[in-house]
Amino acid sequence: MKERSTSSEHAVRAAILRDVYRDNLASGKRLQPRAGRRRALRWLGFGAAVLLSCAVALVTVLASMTESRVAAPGAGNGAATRIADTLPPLITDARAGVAAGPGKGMEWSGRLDRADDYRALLRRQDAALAGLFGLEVRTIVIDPGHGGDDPGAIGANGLQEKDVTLDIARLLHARLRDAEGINVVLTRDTDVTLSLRQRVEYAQQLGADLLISIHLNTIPNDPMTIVETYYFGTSSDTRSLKVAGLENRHSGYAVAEFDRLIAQFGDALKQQESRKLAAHIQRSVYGTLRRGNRQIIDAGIKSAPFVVLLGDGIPSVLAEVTCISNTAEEALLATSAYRDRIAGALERGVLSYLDQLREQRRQWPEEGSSTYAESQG
Amino acid sequence: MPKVKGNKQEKALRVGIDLGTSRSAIAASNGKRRWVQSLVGWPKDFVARKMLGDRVLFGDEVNEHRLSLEVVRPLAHGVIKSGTERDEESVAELIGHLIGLIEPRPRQKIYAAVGVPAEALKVNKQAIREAISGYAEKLIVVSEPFAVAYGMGALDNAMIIDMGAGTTDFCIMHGTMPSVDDQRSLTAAGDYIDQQLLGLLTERYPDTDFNMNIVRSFKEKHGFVGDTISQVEVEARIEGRAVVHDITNEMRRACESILPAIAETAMDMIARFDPEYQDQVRNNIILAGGCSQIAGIDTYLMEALSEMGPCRVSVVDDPLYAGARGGLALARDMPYEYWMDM
Repeated sequence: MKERSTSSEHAVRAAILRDVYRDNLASGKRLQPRAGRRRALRWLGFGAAVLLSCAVALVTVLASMTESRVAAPGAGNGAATRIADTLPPLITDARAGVAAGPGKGMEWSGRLDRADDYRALLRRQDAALAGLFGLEVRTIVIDPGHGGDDPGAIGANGLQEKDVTLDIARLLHARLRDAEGINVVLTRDTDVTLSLRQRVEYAQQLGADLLISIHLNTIPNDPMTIVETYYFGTSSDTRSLKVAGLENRHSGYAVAEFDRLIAQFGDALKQQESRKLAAHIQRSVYGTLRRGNRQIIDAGIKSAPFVVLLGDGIPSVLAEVTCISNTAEEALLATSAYRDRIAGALERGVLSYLDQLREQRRQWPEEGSSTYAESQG
Repeated sequence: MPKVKGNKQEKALRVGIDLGTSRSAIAASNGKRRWVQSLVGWPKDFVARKMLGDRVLFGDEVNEHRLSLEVVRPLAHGVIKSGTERDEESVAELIGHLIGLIEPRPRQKIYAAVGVPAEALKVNKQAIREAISGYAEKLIVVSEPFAVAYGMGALDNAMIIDMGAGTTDFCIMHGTMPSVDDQRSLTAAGDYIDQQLLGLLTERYPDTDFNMNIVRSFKEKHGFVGDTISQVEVEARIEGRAVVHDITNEMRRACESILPAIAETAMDMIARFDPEYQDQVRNNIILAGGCSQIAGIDTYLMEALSEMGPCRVSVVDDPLYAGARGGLALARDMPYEYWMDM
């Protein structure tokens, strides 16, 4: 009997060792012999330098090609399109062609010839501007809230918001990365301090088409758990302003700069798309968490002046995915399965927004119409 | 174990390393074992370097000369902090130091099995491999609780709770190498207790000089949960004068502060395990890591988990070296042809 048990344990050990071997083989490069390591590094450095030179040359050539296309009258149609780049040209007829080209992401072939058309269009809240101009989402920036010296909210058992948001963001990044043709970038991939200003500027540098900032709510002295999603705007709701105040603590903006940025914030497309994205995310996150917790409250989508949502022309949302102040929720957040569940809900929200955007592109404007006014009949 | 090329196998020194947030330990096939605090100190300037006579210091020496040093605790919070070069360099130096302590023969090959906090394995496994690669010919990296389980032979239907300084890592063993789903991590661990204790003591004795090092030493000496038969009295200082404080209640509160989250996570993991084997797992829970030495912690958890049914919680005999011993067992048992591929 003892012999059989020993032999069975031996088999289990052998199986485990095989797993360890495979896991390490899959995750790590084979180590190089110590004696040859320096020589290998030198070759690696030389190779990297050659590759870098090639990359620089390629980028220079591409940049000059792009510039020449934009500079040519009536050209520029194939240039890479970002929502941030596209919006300003809409207000002049000369630039309308930029938004009317047939290149990828600009499938609409109509023209907007009169400035009045644009004004009328921008005033309409129900007009799907992104769909109208055939804009595509190519770069999504995911921003894990807080980090480094700023732990964010801390649960009763010590769980820190910055750690949870980072893990959810990583999981979301891994999920969205597989979506075809989308570049997904994290503002931080480690526990590092970043001001809100740095996050906004980073998203702008990348030419982000969407920004999703992930946070956890905290409601002191109240065990309730709420899910809410914000987009940038003014707010008369005291609680929303308080939440914005908490999340804006490390903004990196001076008061005057902040006022100027708020004054600039008037672009219809950004607000419209932010609101839609917020609605998709809110519906998905609340729907998912509600299945496991009937007590959870849907606080809906709201606008509030969050600094991280300031990015010029970038549709941005701030998702307060749950409340770390609720101890039961904190215990769940400490589990990787629950964090993955939230990431999955965020992913579904984003994908459902993108599906809707594609659908709009297919439907708008009606075939044969050449101006917004015509398309409206 | 295959007998292929037995001579080469004999020549290589097998080592198991437990790369912990607070302490790191090494056990080697030459019978030696050592530990150091996971602290690396870099002299702040050339004056400090000249005074200290070394370009990098480790463990207790770092505490002793901390004013002259840039102190790095590279695995704070269970991962290589911030992913900075300095942290990765510090991990590498720490590993080199540990290997030096077990005195391998000149030019002797090192085959190392390194246990790291579960979060570090998940987050920056490659960085850890890079950091260690300069000191070992062959290397495998595994999670700490798994190394402990392997070393103890708790291979099937067992739960290891490795209560370290930065994280508490959970791992369920079911006859295979645990997957990501079989492992979880909480930040409710030793450092959190220290923060709580410092806060409670500062509130009760505002004039007394406490710091993290002092309260950590109190915890390591007097930490307990549940009932105690005697008071916890410690010597502290007020403006240089020695005083004795009763810290019984504060110690209990701080030490118990991490337990609800740990009990809840353990219950959740067991509840998700195959129902047929849940009883076996519940009766085979093993506590490892520095915090497992807090008096009464096994009884407390046993009571908390008993709402799911009878359970048995035991504490490893040698928490300081349990991970390193497990790593050494892995390094010894790993077949030669597997090593050759690493």
